[in-house]
Amino acid sequence: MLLYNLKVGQCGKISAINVKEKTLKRLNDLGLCVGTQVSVVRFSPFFDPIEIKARDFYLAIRKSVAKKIVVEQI
Amino acid sequence: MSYNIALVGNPNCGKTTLFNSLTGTHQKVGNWTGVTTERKIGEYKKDKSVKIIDLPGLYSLSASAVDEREAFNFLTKNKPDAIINVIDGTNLERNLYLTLELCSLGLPLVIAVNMCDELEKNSLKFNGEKLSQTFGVPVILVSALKNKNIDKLIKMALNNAKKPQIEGYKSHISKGIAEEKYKFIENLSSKVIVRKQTRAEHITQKVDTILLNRFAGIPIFFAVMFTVYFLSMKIGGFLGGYLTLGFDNLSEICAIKLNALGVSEWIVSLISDAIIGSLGGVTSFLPQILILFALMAIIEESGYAARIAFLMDRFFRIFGLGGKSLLPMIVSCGCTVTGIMTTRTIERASERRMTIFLSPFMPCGAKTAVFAWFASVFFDGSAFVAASMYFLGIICVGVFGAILKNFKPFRENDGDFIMEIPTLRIPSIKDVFFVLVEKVKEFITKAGLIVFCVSVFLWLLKSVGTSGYVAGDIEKSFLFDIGSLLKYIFYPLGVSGWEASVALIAGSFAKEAIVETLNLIATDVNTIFANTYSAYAFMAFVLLSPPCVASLAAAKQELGGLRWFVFMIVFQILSAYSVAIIINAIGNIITYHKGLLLSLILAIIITLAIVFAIKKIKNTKCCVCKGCKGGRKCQKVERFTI
Repeated sequence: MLLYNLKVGQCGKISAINVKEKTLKRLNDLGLCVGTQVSVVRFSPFFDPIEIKARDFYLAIRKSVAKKIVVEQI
Repeated sequence: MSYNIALVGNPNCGKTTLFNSLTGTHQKVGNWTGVTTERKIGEYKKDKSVKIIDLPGLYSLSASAVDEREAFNFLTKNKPDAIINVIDGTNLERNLYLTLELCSLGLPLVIAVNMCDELEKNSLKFNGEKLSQTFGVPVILVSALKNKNIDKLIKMALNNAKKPQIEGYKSHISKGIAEEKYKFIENLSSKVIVRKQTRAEHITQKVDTILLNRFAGIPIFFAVMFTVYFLSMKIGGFLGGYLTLGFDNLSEICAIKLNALGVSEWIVSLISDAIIGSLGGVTSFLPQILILFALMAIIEESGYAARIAFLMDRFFRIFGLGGKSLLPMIVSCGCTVTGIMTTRTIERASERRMTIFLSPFMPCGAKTAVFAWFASVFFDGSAFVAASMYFLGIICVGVFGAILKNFKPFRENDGDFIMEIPTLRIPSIKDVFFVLVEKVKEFITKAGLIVFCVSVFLWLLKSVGTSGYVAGDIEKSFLFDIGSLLKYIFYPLGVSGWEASVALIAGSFAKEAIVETLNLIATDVNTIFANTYSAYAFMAFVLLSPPCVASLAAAKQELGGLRWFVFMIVFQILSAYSVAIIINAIGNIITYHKGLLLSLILAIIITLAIVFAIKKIKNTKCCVCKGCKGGRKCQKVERFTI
């Protein structure tokens, strides 16, 4: 399952991040890595970007990135 | 001996608030990632030999944006005597990631857990000792906002700096991969603090369901921006009216008194018309600018600005702009200079360049003053006019963004906009107040220097001609000669008065000078502009042309090359000119040939449809492999580009 496919309010645990290295670095710096629990908070008016919650903070990420993050739904 | 202490930490964790408390200064704070883009140096207010350095926020030491690199370079090259790692106590895990990296630098480190008042309020227990033991560095709980423990913090940092350097926390973990680091941090963090949703977070979520609502979000954004302009125009205009009245009286009284003293005519004219008149003209817009700034400061500090970026990201991406370029644009609505500095948070050079090119299209405070004047003269003081300029600015950013996107140096767009959405905060009155104090100071220097010099110079040109001092006979002055030469440039805008071209030249130094100049030299505004449409076209020209000398200097510095800088000026002037011509042309059609308008609109729609269709066909059919959507450039067979 992809992070983008989660519905609002659903939780997931990241199992893979398939993005280019620079983006991966950025995601890591911001606190997203394999094993992190994330939940989808809301979609923006055009369904892109989406707001997610990870650890203690809220992030806006684009659809293109959210579609490359694989999660296991919990 | 003097000491340098650097403040390092994640963006938006309160470094600048701490810096302000420590040094007693009033640097701009906000509630989004990347308010501080340059390092700022101040003296500790209780000991002048201690220098405090406020660095831009960074998430890790290997980050790539300009502001983050600046912080890293400072730490590695300048080697401060001590580092204070500011940590947001309510967001521990991500903050500790940076701490782990900082430990490997081997510089004397103190951890300051900020927002401890926030922790107390939510009855969260923070085990600082555990943290201190693990990293082997002193840990202290502070509150930058409430000035709690900050002197103790400096004492600790100094003690640490003086001590002979003991090996800090260096383990394999600080060099490991992200997953390992986070596993370590999660483990540690669970022993330091029990995670729980804070009250502020809870309220933020409640408010965000409205502010960021999928349907209501964008209408709310437009309503907020309209209210900002409405309030600043109406209340500011009301207060400004009294200021104008005051200065008019002062100017009259001065003229009478000076005449009674028997001072020669030209000195009376210089003092009462040029000096007092110009100061009055500029000052009357001060209330409007101040209200605009106060409201923009509230939008930035509350955290709404970051939310606007979230709402509008998809929309602006159509034009090759996105997420991070929106914040500089929003900031530019207050002041373009600050807006251009804010572009430092953008990682990709092409997107940053584009933002610097386009953010002057947003109406800054000074431009708003010009619109207010035009609104009161031509449009019965309607607040819609200023607000419409704001939306015209947005449209032009979109249109010209879409045009620039086709050129290679602007093409690459940051595809992975990842931004933190901060917790909403009630802006502190103190911070907003100091923003205003800064603005008044800036305004006085600007009005006092640029506008004053420009108006005295203009007065000189206006009063002197080939035949010497020409008193009231403006048509014999040098200014008239210059203006008459230049006025042909603005004919296509429907602006036939020579005064307008002179005003624009004066306005290239600072936009406030436009109103000022028109007040000084224009006898009848209705002869300058053919009709209200041409006045509107003139306003559009003002909106899109470079705002002031200071913004040009900032753009030159940030673009980092004379070639780009010159290109930017040419680009902005050309776009201003073309948009103004189009507006005037539409105005003419509306006034003289109403029927033509419909056919014109139809023609435009058809043209757009054709262009769109061609693009669509081009994109879908590949000329090489017939299989991909690469158009002329095949995506599968790279070498065979036709």
